Amino acid sequence: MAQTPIDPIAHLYRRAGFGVPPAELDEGRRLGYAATLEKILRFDAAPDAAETALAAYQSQLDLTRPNGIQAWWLIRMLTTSRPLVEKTTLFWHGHFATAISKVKDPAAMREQNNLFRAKGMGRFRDLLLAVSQDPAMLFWLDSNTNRKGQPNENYARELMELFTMGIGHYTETDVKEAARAFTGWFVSRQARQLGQFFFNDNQHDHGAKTVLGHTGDLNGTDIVDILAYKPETARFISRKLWVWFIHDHPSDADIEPLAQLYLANDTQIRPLVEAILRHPAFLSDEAYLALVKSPVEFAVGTLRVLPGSFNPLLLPGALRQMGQELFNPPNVKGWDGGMDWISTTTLLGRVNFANAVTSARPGGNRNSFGDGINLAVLLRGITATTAEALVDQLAARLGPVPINDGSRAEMAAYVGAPGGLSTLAPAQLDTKVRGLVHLILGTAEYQVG
Amino acid sequence: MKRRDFLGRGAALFGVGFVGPELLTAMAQVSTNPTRPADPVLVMVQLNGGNDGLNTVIPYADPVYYASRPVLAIPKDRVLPVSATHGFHPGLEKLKPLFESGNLGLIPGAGYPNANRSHFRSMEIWQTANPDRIVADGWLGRYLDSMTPPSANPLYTMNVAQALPKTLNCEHCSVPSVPNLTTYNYATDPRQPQDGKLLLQAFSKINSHVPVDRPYVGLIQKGLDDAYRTMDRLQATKGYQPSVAYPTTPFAQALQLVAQVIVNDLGTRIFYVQLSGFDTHANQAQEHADLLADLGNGLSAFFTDVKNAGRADDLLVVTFSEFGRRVHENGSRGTDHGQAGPMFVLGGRVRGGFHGALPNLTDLDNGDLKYTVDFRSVYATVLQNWLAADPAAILGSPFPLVEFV
Repeated sequence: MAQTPIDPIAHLYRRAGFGVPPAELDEGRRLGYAATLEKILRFDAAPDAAETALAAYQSQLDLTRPNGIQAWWLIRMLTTSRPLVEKTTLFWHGHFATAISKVKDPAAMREQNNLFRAKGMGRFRDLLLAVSQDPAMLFWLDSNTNRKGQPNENYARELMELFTMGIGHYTETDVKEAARAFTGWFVSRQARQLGQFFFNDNQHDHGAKTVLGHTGDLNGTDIVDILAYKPETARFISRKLWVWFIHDHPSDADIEPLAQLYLANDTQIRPLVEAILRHPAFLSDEAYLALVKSPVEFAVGTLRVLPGSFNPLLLPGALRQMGQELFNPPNVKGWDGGMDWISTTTLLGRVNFANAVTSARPGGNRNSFGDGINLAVLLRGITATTAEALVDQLAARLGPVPINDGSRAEMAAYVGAPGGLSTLAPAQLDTKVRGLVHLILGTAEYQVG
Repeated sequence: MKRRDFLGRGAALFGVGFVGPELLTAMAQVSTNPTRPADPVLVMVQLNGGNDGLNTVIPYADPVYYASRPVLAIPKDRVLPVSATHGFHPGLEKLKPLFESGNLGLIPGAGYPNANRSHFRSMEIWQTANPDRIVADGWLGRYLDSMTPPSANPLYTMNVAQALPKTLNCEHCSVPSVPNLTTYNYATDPRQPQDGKLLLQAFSKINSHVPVDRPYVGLIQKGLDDAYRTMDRLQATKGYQPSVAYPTTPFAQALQLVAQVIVNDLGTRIFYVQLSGFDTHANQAQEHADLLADLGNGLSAFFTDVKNAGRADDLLVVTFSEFGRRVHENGSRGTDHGQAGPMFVLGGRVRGGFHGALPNLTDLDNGDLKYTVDFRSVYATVLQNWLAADPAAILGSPFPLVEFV
């Protein structure tokens, strides 16, 4: 079968962010790939536009509730001028997966999220130490009850298995000994409110421990320092970032140079991300449209690409139907991603979100997705006179989304204007354009990016 | 659906005053084959997080248990005894009558060699029935793939959760995921009902075409098509009136949906239900009690409902968790990851009682209970005695059966 033509700018904006509206895509095409990539990488040149957008929503956001902090982050993703930062923050949220279902404290969850935003591009060693002392994490993996003589293994195990080296590179003894090193790393909690990290020396085990060949009166910081610089960690993090940005089947040979880069740069993440975005494989046919969009990528991407006005406060509920609740991953391993996003019910969640977006019109009730699509803007520059051409031009704006011949014919049959689009009354055209967007967003092809 | 199915079950349920010859034949068949129904239904219940088996089936006569669990041990007078040495956690009070009526069996020490204490790897081992290497397909997925001919019913298997567990991963089968029916439909703009019909028609046809050649697109399209082909049939069961009041928890509601689909005879043979929260590293007592109550109350309501519909003999429920927990409690009034744990089996034809040896609290592996029955023996029994499949072909090698069915 013929290769799908690669649109490098659209690909870059999807992977390094959540997609952009057609005008910004055109701007990127004018600038060229290299300059667009530079613009994305130099995100700290200007303040984040999301701050202004969030200020406008301040009175509507209840940050003491899970729904409120979810909307808070989604508004960031929708309006940010630093897409790479939000994309990386989402990566770390999935990596250091912490769930509000147990933590119960929205403020602490938001604090952790800001930690990913602030430190997610810096040294992994610093990020790991900050996460190990993060109140939400301390409570989530029971560090706050990890006492001398009665260690709780929860954090030590997940630290090695999921946060650093990966399974198979440590022993059960390493887990038990590392748990002892973290004894006394506590966080206070009153009612459902978490306090700050504190070190309780009385509950810390000062005896000798041996972890991964290192022996001494090790504490948690020592364990972080040991783990962050292990070659296994370098590979584990490099592989996971590759899978996040490029495709899901890197070879060992793909990963090794990145792992070396991580170690050579004192565990800095930013050079690693840059190397991945500049990697030849990033723009390869193998990578193009080769990742299943997460619900967040699907929904945020759709609302960023479509012109109009949409109510972001309804997004958390819609995302729940699609199988992704921000701040509430299913377990400490985070979301598995890929085909694990896909099931009959989550797919219906996606097509029903598409319907909610395309059905929204000015004057809708509070369950409406806002004023909805601005059709005049969407159709600006659309030159199609036939239904088939309209399908292609809309699909180009929404992705581009490749549409197979059979689907194009079905969509044209749905429009039902054999004599051309000029035979449709304006109200009919309005309905049919909305319907086509609904159908395109509900194709299998739109679910990959 | 076979005509006999409808008459055998549906007629009785909907009160149709008619007993045809087919029904009599069906009843006769059942009575000549007392161990296996013509259309067996399997409900797998996955307990996520590592259920603390020692506080589920409690060795209340063993002083080692009380010595190991100064805070968490259930006092003898609160244990619900089911034998001279063992009893249920008080949260399982609704399961005790089912044990007494012989409908509930248990395998007290299920596990596998060289236990893995990672939640994710160990769960994967239970889901794929392969402790030696990582494989793509689940054990029930391989069973579904082995069916010749494969079932044409897109609802032959139903996952009652949002995401598909690896257990049901397969090469050729389709498994819809249906956590509930509230949004399991194709919504369109209510202001445009006529256009909505055209949209649904276009949606269904689009999914019949050859998709663009990109990874995963074909599988996603199949999922969209499966959704289309299952949603109306499921929505048609919505008027179901259960014969018992189910608890309002998501777990019990999931089981009610299973009963609804069984009783409406959609031809579904395998269901998959999950209950999460068993990773009780800290302050376990109340949390674990709540979880077990959810499990016991839900299963009890479900079994009674299915039984009242005359379908208990078609039903086999099997519960499992990725591991048990350490014998010794930790310093956080909780328990860390362990090894062997109990499995429950429930159904009209189940041989009740204990199956397999009890774990020994003084013969431990690194602080953990040693398994006495390989869980693959339980799967092999389900495959051979319940699903009439060849266990060795699906599990890779033969395992001795555990005669609970």
